Amino acid sequence: MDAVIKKIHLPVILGALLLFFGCREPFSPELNDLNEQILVVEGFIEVGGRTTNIKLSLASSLYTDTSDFPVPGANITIFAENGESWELDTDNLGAYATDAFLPENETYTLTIDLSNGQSYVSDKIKPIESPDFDISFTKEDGDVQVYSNTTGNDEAEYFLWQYEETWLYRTPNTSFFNYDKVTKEMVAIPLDQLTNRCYNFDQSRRVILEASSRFENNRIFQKELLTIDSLSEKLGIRYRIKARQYAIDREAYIFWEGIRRNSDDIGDIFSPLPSAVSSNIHAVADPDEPVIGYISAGKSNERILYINTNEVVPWRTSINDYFGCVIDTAATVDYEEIFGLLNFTPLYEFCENLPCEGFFYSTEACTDCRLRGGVLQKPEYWKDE
Amino acid sequence: MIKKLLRLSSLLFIVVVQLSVAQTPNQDRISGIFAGLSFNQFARMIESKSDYKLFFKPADVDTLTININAYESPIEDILDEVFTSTGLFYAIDNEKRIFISKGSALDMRLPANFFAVQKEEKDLNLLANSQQETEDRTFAKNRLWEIGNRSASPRETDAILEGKIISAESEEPIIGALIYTTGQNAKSISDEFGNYSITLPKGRHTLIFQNFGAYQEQRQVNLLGDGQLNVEMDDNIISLTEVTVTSEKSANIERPEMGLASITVQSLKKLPAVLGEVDVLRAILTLPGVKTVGEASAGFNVRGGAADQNLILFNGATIYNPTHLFGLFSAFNPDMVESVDLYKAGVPVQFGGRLSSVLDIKSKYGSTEEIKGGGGIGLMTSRLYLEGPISDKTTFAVGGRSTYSNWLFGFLDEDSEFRDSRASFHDLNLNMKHQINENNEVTISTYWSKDSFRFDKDTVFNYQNRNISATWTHYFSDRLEGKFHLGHDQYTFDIQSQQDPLNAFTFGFGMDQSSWKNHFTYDLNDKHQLNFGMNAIYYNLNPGKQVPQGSESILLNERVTRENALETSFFLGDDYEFNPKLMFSYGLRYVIYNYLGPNTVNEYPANSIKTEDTKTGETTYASGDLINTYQGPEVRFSARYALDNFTSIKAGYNSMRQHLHMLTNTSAIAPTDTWKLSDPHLAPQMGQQWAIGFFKNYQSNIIETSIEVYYRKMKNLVDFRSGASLILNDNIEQDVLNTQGKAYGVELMAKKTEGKLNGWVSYTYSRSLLMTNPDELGEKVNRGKLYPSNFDQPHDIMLAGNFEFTKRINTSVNANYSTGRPITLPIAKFYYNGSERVFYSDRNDYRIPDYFRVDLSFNIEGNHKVKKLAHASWSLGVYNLLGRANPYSVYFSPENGTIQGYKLSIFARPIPFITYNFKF
Repeated sequence: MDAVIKKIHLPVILGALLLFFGCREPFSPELNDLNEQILVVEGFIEVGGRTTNIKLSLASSLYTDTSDFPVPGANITIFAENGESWELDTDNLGAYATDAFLPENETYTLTIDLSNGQSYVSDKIKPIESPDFDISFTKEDGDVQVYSNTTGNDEAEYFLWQYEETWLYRTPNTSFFNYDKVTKEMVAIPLDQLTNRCYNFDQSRRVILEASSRFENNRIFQKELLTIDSLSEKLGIRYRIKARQYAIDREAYIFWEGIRRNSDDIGDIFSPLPSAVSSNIHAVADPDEPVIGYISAGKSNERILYINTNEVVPWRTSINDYFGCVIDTAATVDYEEIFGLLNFTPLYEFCENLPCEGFFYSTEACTDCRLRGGVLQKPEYWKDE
Repeated sequence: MIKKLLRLSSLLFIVVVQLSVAQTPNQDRISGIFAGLSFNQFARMIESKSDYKLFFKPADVDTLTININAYESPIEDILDEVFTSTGLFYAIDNEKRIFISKGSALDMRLPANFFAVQKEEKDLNLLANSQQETEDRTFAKNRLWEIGNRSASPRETDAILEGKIISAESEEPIIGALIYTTGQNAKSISDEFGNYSITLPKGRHTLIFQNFGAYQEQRQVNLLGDGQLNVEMDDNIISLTEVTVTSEKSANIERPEMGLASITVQSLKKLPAVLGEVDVLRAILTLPGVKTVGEASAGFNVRGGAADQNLILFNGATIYNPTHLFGLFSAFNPDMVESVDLYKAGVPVQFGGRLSSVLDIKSKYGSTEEIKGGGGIGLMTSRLYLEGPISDKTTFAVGGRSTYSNWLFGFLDEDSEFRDSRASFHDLNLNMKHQINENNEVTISTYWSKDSFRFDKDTVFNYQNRNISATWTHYFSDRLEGKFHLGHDQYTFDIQSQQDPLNAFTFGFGMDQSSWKNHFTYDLNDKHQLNFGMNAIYYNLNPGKQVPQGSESILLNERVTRENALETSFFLGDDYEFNPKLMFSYGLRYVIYNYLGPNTVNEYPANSIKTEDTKTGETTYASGDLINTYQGPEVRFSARYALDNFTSIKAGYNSMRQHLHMLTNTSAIAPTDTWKLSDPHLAPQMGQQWAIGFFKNYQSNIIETSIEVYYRKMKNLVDFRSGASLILNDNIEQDVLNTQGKAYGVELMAKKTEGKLNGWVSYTYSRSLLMTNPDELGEKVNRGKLYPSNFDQPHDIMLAGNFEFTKRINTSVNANYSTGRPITLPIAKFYYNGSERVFYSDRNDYRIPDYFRVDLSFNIEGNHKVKKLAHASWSLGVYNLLGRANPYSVYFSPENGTIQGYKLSIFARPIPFITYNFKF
């Protein structure tokens, strides 16, 4: 409720004021140097057979270019209350995982031993089993919203969702030939090596949280996971979303709510003060040392939804990168210049009369989908229609 | 030879005159303060104070302004001073006629009678018109008033003289006028109803009534016993001139209270306004020790206290939200405001319930003379008021304001997200006063304000203040006055959202309080004036209620249990004048707070952290059950020691209790902030303040200077656990962090109250620090260390200047510098949950850049003819003249995948304004 009010109204009030009189300008306040390392622990202890993933990194000074400083070389161990323990495998890039089966009715603690000798230990973590959920979508005002629906219970009252997206997209033009600069010949590209269709990926970046106790019968109905804006390329062909629902306890909810607020709600006139976000992981040597992250445990749920473009018709995609993609024709005599020197990309033969008297051509940016971050290789999990 | 003889005779003549002056010193020596007078007024005063008659051509003297402070001075000294380098000369004849002439002194060698008779006739004719109106009062000045009954109390040596001072023009009471006599130390100040009371030895006195904004009146009295003398004073002439924001002249030296700032309506109107709207709250912010966290925030902070620690009274009614448009305008119609008093320390004993300050705003009850009115038309708002008599005994004043800011939204682009926005407000005042008889007076005051916002088509936000009160004033005797006040105050807000049918709701909050006050003042004798009485407030609070709207909504019908409480206080105070130099004002206020059912109170083990898990049970109380009680005394003490007439030292101590807490975790007052009553888990906030001050005036009180130092301690302040949700929270005690605070500071001020150039400059150094109570078992902010509060702005410089080009055009400049307010900034970044995020510093570890703003305004009056259909004036100017983008806030947000810092300003450019004001 609080969030609802704040979200709907207050930034707009501010906006209305700013609109008439105010202004917002970039500003870089002078900050004291960060004189200590701050460990960041992210992950979830999966019980009942799924893979547990934990990631370690360090926070960095605000004005550095990158924010991801992975911490490899640490030992992470999960201890159960009954004395059993599991050590996590590492990929030496700061990611740690185990596929071991962790019993559901145990209480766990996590220990982290860094290679520099510092040790961290978590509070006791009690697993919570997430109830079933499903995801659905609607199209409204041209946008598509993807929702989650679930029903909480006495055990599982607070929920966190994360999702991964995969989608297919196409370049406006397709190159069926390569120009061989040595032989000065057009070489046909095998069909399975065409670069006009790519898979691209994204993941949730917002903190998506809800408490079921707010609702009648604990029923969370149509909790928005994301909105796909009209014109987005995601729904141009086929789209897949894999959502994961975690049931977390109250303390974890407060942590995530703090992360959410500190990301979404800061700086407005009526914004709450930044939250001090507490962690359930503490340095053994100095309990006051700041640590970022909250590790929960439980049995998460996963749901996958595909959306084809024909389910949301009409869907028009518009990609700025592809504005100005035109097709031109090159006469045979100009091949050397157009393809050899200017590096245009041949599409297919121009054959108004036979024999064919030239080639259609375009640019690489308009024919190679990989240039926009996608991959040609179909992911293993991808199911075609 | 003849020439020589004549010279000799004139020499003799002068000697004779001077001898006669020397022989009757008491009558011919002149005392008084002649401040900012025209020569005509000055002449009339001289004539009233002495037997001298002045003769002059008005044209010769119309450029003169008299500023003289005389004490037993010979007339020649006064005149010499007045005419220095004016090209005017005077001559005095043996009949005490003073002839003023240009170029050279009048030649007295001719037979005096012959010349003077003609002159006198001529000048009397010239003066006749202007003097006609004041003739009665000139008579009143010179006649000897026999007061009291000699046989009533023949053995008493002293007698009490009482009366009422009213404005000759408006018949409104004159507040804060100083009453004193020549040759006696007795002094008195008229109260808010213009009433005064002074104890004098029986016998003959010259009473002087002096008010800033009016020139002085005097009465010759022969006091035979207790009696009454009512006085009318002029105020219209002077009120257009030099008066500026001020405590009453020399009252800063005289009165025992410290930390009191009064603002007159005239000075209010001269301050540069935002969007042309004269604003009580903005005027308050120009005073030392009063700060705000930002330009568009509803609250103000007094001496390091939170915004909810200010008691805002409008005719005795509590106003919970004193602003319109979320802080852009104050909720008080300037046309209806009569006086504004802010008590930063030395809060009088009849006020209580808040920790930091009392803002006491009084409004008009209407002129007894004639129906009149006025108003103003600005760019965004208009206002209108009307006042006057209904019958001989009944007067009224009614005023209203409304905005038409909606048209501004119409100018927005078609696709602007604010195009569907609407924002409007209005407020209405209706006050009535009925004089039943000499001893009884009844007033009724009502106030209604409403704000309504719509930011898109589907979401509406409303808030409103509604207040009604009735006061009966009864004079039991000449010494005992009683006031009985019955009132009801209401503040509510609600939000209606239809944006998403599944989540459609209305949310409502409401505070209702009914209050009963009785307040007696009793003049025990000339040394003691007692104040006593009681207050009772019954609170009925709806902390929050959410109702789903429409059949599709899946939200729950949620409400936090209504809270009820009764706050009763008894007080006794004494203004004690030990001797003319030493004065005390002290009192005790005993407050009993009862938290009442129906309600359900959670139980937790003693000395344990309060969470859902540690909750052991709950107790349900039925309607009217007493749940718990807090009680205790509040102490008020202040003392003034006058070193001389222009210098005093004051010291004070007061303690306060507050049973109402605003639940907020934003730095500004947000429109959705709710209030909470003290309950078994939430103890009342308590505060103490020690203050000491040194006050000195120069140039016969034209320049006032002061130094005040204070130290405050507060406890049981409320802060909240991180991430606490404050709305619809039925277990708020689980989220509260008991916090204590201290604040200290020094306030320096120099003020020039009169002259073409007037105004003040002040510097404040102050700190306001908080700390989570070491006994708090939950989270400790900044690991339990002391941290600056959101409004800790150590350095603050304020300059307010007013320059009168002519009587009709004056210009005001405001300049304000202050240290930026503390802020919590991100100091590191990290990658989490798919995005770059920031890690924050300790609470309030950084500051936003310093604040500096200059405003300029011009007030242009129409001509000053008394009889005119309507008096018009224009006020125009520029707010934030330098266009400096003073940051309201600094924050970081991810932009294209990296974190970018921004500073946000509310009034980032010069904002011109123009308002047309009229009076009829």
